[in-house]
Amino acid sequence: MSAYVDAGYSVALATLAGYAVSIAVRERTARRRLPATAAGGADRGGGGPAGPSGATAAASPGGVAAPGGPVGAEEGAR
Amino acid sequence: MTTVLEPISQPEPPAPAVSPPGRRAGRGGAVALRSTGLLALAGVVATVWLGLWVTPKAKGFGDLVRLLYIHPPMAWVAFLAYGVATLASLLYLWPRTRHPRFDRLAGASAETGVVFTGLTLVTGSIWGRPSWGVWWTWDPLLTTTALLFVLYLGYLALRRVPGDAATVARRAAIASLIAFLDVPIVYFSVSWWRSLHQPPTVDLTGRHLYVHGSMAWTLLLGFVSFTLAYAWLVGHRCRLSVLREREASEGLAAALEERRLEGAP
Repeated sequence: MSAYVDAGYSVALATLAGYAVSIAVRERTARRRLPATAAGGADRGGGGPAGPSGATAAASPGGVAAPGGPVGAEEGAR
Repeated sequence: MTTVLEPISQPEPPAPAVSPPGRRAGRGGAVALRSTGLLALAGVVATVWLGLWVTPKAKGFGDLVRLLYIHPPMAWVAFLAYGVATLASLLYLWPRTRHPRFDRLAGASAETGVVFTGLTLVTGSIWGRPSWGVWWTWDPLLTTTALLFVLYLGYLALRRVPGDAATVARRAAIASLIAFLDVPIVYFSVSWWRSLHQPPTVDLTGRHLYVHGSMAWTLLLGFVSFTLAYAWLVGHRCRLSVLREREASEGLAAALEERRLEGAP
């Protein structure tokens, strides 16, 4: 196998793996900084549609933030 | 925002018999994202295996042709990423569809696109050294691709400039539209100007594929796999943005609450 081919594949795969791991680590760190309920909401809500504002999120069943709720609240602040 | 953390003084509504639709959809999204990640991983492993050990050498290129299975797919994903970022920016700028999630999607897609553009430049350079005798030349395709890389780095830098969230999002969306103008120039540069670079392996305008057999299938698998990897990366990058925004807003809410308590008698 050509050393150039080896180098190309190594650089490409290592960079992609590194980027993926960095995102996963940053996501985990960010989730740990948040209280469990809010982080859980973000995990499930993801980038989905923003729900109702924070007040409604607090009133969601079990005190769990509705998916995207607090994001919607932030949007309201905008 | 602190209302999320405070105990609810009002009586809680009865728990629903089934999961709320939003939560169910969110869980479905997480499963879909995880499935995308697993498919992408399997696809990339298969592409590497087929590309390095199964497909034959090519006349005139020898083993170098194996770079073909990762270099064009990465260029394609970069174009796709910038296309998605532009579309999301347009949706953000359009008043009827304006929503922070489009700003998040544009940022995530552009960041991923920058990674793939960088890899396109590096793998292209590794291809160029044995083929052309130089690591880099100011060829139209290479130059416009490097310009694209720099333009979107500028876009990402612009997103970090402090300011009101809506203002930052709006100016980033406009910058994304401007930067995207370079994408068709990159694609057609090999046709418009004399270039060292060969014509596109997949000619979208002529609907022609310049590889055949196992090489074509491996290339196709490369396109699919790296596209899935892009989707996974963007999905997680959007989730990270949501968490960071939430963290920032809760920090602000806590600071305001602290200030309020300081002022209380």
